[in-house]
Amino acid sequence: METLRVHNVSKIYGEGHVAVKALEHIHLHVEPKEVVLIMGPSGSGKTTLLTIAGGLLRPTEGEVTIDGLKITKLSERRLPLVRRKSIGFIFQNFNLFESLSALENVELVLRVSGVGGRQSREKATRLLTDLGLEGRLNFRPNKLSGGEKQRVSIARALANDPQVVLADEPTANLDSKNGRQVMELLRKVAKEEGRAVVIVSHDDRIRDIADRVLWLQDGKLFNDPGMEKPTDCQCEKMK
Amino acid sequence: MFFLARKNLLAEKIRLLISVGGVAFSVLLVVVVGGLYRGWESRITDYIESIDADLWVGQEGSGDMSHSFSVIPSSLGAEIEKIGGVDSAKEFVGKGVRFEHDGKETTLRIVGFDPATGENGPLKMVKGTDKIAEGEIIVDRSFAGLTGAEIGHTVDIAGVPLEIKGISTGGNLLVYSFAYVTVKDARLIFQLGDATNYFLVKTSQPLAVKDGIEDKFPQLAAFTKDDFLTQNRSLITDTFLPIIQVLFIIAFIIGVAVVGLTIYTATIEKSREYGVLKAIGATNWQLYLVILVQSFIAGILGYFAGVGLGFVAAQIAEYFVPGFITEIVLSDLVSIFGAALLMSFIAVWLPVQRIARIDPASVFKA
Repeated sequence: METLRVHNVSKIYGEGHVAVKALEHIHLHVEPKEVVLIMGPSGSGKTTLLTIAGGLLRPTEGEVTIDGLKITKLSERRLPLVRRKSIGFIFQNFNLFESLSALENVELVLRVSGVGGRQSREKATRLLTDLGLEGRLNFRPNKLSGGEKQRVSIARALANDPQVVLADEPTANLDSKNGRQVMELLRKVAKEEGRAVVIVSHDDRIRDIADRVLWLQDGKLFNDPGMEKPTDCQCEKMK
Repeated sequence: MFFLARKNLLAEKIRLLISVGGVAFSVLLVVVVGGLYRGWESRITDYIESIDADLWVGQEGSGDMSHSFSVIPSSLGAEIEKIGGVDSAKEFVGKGVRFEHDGKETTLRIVGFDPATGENGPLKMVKGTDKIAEGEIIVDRSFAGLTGAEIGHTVDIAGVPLEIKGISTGGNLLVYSFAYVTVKDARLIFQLGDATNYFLVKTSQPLAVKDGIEDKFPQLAAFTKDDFLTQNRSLITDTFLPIIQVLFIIAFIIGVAVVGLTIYTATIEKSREYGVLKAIGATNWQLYLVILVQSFIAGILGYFAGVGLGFVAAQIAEYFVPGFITEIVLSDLVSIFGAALLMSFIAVWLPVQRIARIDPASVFKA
């Protein structure tokens, strides 16, 4: 059974003659341990798809299900709880808290979820240590390299053991070596921990890390024509 | 979330300083002005409290010694003593007199007292003697401080030259101070002739005697000691309380505005971080709590800084300005603490509105 299911999702911004169709009848199913890379030009709707999948934006039409729970039907009050428990976000600009150390950045997510001080500190330490940041625990973001910041961001995304990890251009601000390492980490997260990982990116260098590569253009999702052996993308609209 | 609030505050030390400073300034203002009010309220009746009388009897319509004037025939004293329950009725001569001293208009409340017994005399001497004779006067420390008058100097009041023989304290009432002369000199200054200002009545049944006096002499008004103290306090409560209330409100608004604006600007600057928190699952209420904790920390730090500065400012002011009498009481400090917390609570209204409008999806924008 798929962990993330995006079913017939469309998103239209604005109304009337100024309406813009950002997404059109998107179908996307992602299973546990699977890494899906969604590529496409700027303005193709990648980030819109990610925010809808993450429960941050409501689609105009269609539904999103995470582990069988239809999150598009949930109230604004319940949505944060689902995001907290089931979804981990990784951002292009890392979005770390500048006034907090690496450890506190990860700890914060656990505190938001109501995990106690000592327990959250232990878990945050373990996550950062697993990602090779044991020597950087008390460093603030401005003292970390781009690669280290993104690893802190990954640790933060994994803190609540989410079933789904959504990454927005995770290698955009990294050099190729660090970008590669981050992608390998995300693959490891999927394969060893059984999470569904969805990455949206422009970065052509990382396509071989993914189990499936999809192409989003003009709000429509296609099986990637550049893949030598395209997997079953489970898209209803294929070229 | 407490640690995020603390980190946010400490990360911007200048902003924290402004925030704490705003509350501290408000609290300082309230502590000092409130202390002045309490000081005057308490000091204005110190002298009256020291007078050994169960009833004050004056002219009908004279409620207190500041707002009204009482002149009654001295012969009524013997008549009052005949009323059942009255142990004694002694004359009290005292009223405010305005005169020119060293080219400046000034006011003293002149009281006639008996230097031999000290009855109705100064509360406390700080210099010279209270054993004065006719043609001599005891002035308050505040009058001496303001005019430069010293022992041996002469003041001319209503054409009566009086040599300063002693300096007392505890008789400064903000707009005037007490001065003490012999009863004979007081009568001369007031040109009372065969009249007096009040009778001080001793009795074990003050309420019954009060009714008895007012029934028998409709031209007189009798006040129990507590009533007379309350009436005299009204100089402060009627005149200064409304002004003080306005100052309190201004101080409160300044505190709210400074804390509110500093927290609001910090919230705007950290909008993205709050958006990230929303994206990762923080509820609006959790974010409001972060803001509230920040505001409360600033409020509490500002309160303690303001109280500390208030004590120091009051001491310094009282040292240089004798009329600056403050009395800072614990119950007021507790109320001001409550006001500081309320200030912090109101100050988060704008930042909370801002947070509520932050769209978590905006954090995906590069």
